[in-house]
Amino acid sequence: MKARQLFQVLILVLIIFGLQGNYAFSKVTIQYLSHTTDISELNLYKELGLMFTKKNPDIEVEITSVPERFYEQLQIMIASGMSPDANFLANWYLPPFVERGAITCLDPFVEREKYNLSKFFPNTVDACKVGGKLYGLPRHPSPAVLYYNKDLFDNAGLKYPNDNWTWEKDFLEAARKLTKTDDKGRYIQWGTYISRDISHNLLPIIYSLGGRILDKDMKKCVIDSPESVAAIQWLADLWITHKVAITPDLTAGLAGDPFVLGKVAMVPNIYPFIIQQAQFIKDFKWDVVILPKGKGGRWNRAGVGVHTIPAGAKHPEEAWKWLKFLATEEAQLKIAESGLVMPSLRVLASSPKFLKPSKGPEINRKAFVDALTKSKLVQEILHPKWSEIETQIIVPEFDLVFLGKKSAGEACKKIAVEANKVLGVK
Amino acid sequence: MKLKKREAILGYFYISPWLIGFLIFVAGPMIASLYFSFCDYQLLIPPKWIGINNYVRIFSDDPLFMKSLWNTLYYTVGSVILGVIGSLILAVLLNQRVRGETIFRSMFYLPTLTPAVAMAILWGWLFNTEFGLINRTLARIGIQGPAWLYSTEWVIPSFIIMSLWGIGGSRMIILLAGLQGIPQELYDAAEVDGVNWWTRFRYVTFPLLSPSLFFVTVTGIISSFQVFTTSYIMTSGGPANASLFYVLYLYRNAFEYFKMGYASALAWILFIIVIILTLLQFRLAGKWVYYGGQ
Repeated sequence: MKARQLFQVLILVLIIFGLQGNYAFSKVTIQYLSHTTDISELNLYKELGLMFTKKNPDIEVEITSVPERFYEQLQIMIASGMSPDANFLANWYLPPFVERGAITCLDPFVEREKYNLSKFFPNTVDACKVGGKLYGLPRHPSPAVLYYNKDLFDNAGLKYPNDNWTWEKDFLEAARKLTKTDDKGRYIQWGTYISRDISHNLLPIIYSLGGRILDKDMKKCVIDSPESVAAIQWLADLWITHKVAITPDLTAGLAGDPFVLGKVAMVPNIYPFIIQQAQFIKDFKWDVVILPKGKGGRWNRAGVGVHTIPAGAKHPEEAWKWLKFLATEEAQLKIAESGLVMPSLRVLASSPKFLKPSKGPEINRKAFVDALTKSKLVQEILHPKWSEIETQIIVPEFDLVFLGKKSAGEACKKIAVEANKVLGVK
Repeated sequence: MKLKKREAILGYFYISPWLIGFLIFVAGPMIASLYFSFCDYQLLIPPKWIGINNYVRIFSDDPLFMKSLWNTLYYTVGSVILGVIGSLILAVLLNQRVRGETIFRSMFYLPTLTPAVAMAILWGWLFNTEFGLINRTLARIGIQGPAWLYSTEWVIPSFIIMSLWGIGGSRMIILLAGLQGIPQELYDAAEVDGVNWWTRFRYVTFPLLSPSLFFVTVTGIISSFQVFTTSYIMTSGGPANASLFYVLYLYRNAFEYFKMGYASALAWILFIIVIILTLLQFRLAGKWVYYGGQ
């Protein structure tokens, strides 16, 4: 009898001790969901996780990568209550996620700690906001610049593009002179290659040319204004009338990017293009310059890579610490050194560590910084219905305009009607 | 009776890996999606019952529903008819007793093992307007080739041509097996009667192969209604929605526009369409499919 009681007490003590012990020595593991397809970036994040745990011994970071259909996977995880604690998110996914209450607002954290947001580029912080509230910390800004083939400019006896270039005059003129045909009239070289990605490539050009898609408050579609129609017709003419831009049916199946192959003289593209492709160029010299301006001013894309905390995170406090760590100079330096993305901290982006890195091509990297500080960012991607308006309404009409099957005016009229229906404009 | 019961239990036990998998991963989600199709379900927030609203909208206020269905139907008719004929010709050819027949069979099967992305790159190159193999060849004989994937008229024919890449695949294997199952005596008898090759094909091969042909046609139609990957990767439905296939449109609603309820309704409509088509084929099958022993 006694032995049994003793045993019971022992068990009880063990349980209580065990529980307490668990509490006292427990480590919290937070899960970070990465979108990367690049093994070196994944390893970088694992390294950052270890650095973070060194500083915060009670928190471990588990890096999970979903390289394919990342957003589909993230939505499913959140919907099924298995949300990660922190994740990567392209900022154009913020509005639809925020609208459905899936992301933690960071304002309370920022206010509580007087967290310094001015260390980031101001317009990239704005690009992490929905309805004036902050939902993420910028991981990397992603402005576009104009890549140009120096050899082709030299061969044509043209001056390299500079900061004062305009789309309407300088860019178009150069593109004309840089487009060449052989004696049979077949094109052997094009002035430019304009990707038809509306959000990330065409919008900044349309805005620079004085056009708009949505009005300032993003309540109404104004693509049928004369300025917008003219801007879109100007774009279409690059392919149809002037024939200075390589068409997509010709880029299909090329053994690489047409710029990298030396077939195209100028191409707007983002920073990762260096890492993924341009750094391997051996056959010619190239450089980058800020995107041209136009009568509408100087505009750039608002794409920003963001770190967010899903609303269903089990350890939001720890996740916030991890987010802050990822935005420290130490962590951002690691990210910058990897060369994969541009750092989001102003001080780092303007330091030699980014501008004159030890490895990688020697180019005018300041153009990326200027692109952020001297341009306005096109905000359409921050509208929750934008993705639907873009793929469902704008793309099919633009396709017809760029094929020369429809005038810009006609197409824009139709887009405006349809888009305003989606936006609920009466 | 007892033995029968035991056998039944054992039977279910043996198929249980498949059965459990089917119930959990197929039947479960299907029933769930039937429920969601009557909801406003934005995935990140719980579903809200809205009755038949999704279905009403699909039929009354969604031009892309008809457009994507039409595109898919066009593709299905082209790719199944040409594909089955292609596989049949290939199977007949590979059924000849020639030296190295197994090597030929493997060679014709190989292309189907290419991953979709690699295939997309390869075909992108073949279809290139200027230096692609197809237009180059056409130019030799004085024909100016179209812009293929970048032309509203030619994009679906392009996809149909691409689908013929797979004529040497499992469909051909099934037909080949069917051909080899035809008893030699019948051919011998035909030879004795002195018939020509067409009559032999028409009255011996075709009737005895008809169950296999029926099977590959039915499964071919079902799977080509689900065509998705190639247009997702190569044209994202363009130009001007000319290659917006039904499942691509469904996928966009589900994961890009956050309309899971609407997408579920689209999925069920597709399911019903496919069922009706399949039943119709079974009806017609009585007229041309011959089962031995009937």
